[in-house]
Amino acid sequence: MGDDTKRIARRIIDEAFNSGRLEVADELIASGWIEHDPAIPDPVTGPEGFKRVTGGYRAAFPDLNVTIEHQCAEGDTVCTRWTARGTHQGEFWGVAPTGREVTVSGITMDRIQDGRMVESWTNWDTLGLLQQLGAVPAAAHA
Amino acid sequence: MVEFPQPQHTPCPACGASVPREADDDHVCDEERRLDFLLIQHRVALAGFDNQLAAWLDSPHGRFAAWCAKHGR
Repeated sequence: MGDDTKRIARRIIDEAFNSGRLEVADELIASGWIEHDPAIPDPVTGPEGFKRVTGGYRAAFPDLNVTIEHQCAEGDTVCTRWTARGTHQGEFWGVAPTGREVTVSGITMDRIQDGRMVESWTNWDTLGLLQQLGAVPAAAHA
Repeated sequence: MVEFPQPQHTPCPACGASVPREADDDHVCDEERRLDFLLIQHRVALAGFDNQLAAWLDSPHGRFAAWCAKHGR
């Protein structure tokens, strides 16, 4: 079970995020999938929700590359610690393209049932991303 | 006292490459990336120039200059 859950999480990263093959969501993401990500205020559900959000990331960072740093699995759940890198070439969260390359890290937990993701929880360094884009100060001065 | 968080990587101000904070002294800019970075930085000015050129080419002076260029005068 553990290797299967790891493989599914890895395929989502390799094929959708890194290669832009968003259609892999139709195979690996359940229709009732829900993503819990504080960075995304609106609920993200199902394969179409995944494609919309991931497509948005890839439009803003066309060379997006996510590296899996570590994975562990228990039962039907897999946890992936990752690092994402990409160059800001399209508008992102209202920030016009800067040409800056950014590196951010995060952790995602995915629950797998019958070979598909049914629920995911992600926390990642959104403050660091905005700092690297120059959208918020990298240092606060008293 | 807890300090304000700092990102572990920062974009190089000259080329935009993501550089680990602890290794920024070792960074050497890639010329191709530096050029791409400059183009994005100046995209608004470049787009403005394109629009101004198109407008000028559509003016009487611009049309005359284009005619002269086409006929080698």
